[in-house]
Amino acid sequence: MKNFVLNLIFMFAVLSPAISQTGSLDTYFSKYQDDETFTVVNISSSMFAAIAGLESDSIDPEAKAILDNITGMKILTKQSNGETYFNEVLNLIKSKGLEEMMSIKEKGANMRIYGKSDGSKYLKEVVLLRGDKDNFVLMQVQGKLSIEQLSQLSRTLNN
Amino acid sequence: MENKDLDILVQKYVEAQTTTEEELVLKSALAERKDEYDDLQALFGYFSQQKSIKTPQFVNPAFQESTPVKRKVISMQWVAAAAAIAIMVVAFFYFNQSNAVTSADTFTDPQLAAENALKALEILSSEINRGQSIAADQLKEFENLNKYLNIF
Repeated sequence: MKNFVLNLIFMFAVLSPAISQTGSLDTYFSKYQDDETFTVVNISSSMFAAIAGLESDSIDPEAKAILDNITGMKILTKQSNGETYFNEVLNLIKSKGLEEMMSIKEKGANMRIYGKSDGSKYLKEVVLLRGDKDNFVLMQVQGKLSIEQLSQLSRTLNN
Repeated sequence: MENKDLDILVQKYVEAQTTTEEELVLKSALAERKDEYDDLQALFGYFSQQKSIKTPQFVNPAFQESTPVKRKVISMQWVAAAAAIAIMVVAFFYFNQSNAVTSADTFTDPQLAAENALKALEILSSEINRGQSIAADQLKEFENLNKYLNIF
């Protein structure tokens, strides 16, 4: 009997960090959402559904095609201490099932792009992490995404 | 029994020196001689009378025997299982709660949300392109190196 209870406690102790890890990035966002020094942007799936229903000429059709496949976006930015937060998120991401897709390390500035495959040729999550002395950016995009499509976007919008 | 012996026994009885057997002997002897030893007769008569009085059975309400209530015995295993389920349910809600907090939308206007989302995607896009161009540059350098090595 005593063993049974102890096993249970042990099981729970082992499981609880595993449960909390599944939402670690979300937890990170919520940790700073009330912090005045951060800029937080959150666009929910229902808002993206509303965007998909927009009939607007002001949005480029190619850009619209990307937007229609997005189900959620979260952005967290801060104008200082980018390196500290960069490293903080780096440690979190390691336990999140995200694969590093791109990494640029320049003088005092780090940029990483992570992706989570949906099993086929698309990504269901893309995370951009950038940090230098004066800037910190964490962006999480969820949906059905492709790097080619995203890479094409800046060319489309700048022409 | 001789009167003399009886006298001794009576004397012993009065002095409270008799054994239980001697008392029984004395009692039967006295029963045979109802006219003698008036004092002792009265005493023994009192005793036998006392024995025949039955004390009535009182019921003390303070000590009323309560009929034992049969309690259901729940085994510890079930209690533990229920506790485990309770813990998991609480944990589930606890961990879900933190996610629910973040789902407050920044924008209420879809048009505005779309514009801002695009701005963000543009940054993401340019970062991807920057990464790809750096990779391409390095590839070019690598090719140059190969060319250089091929000369020799």
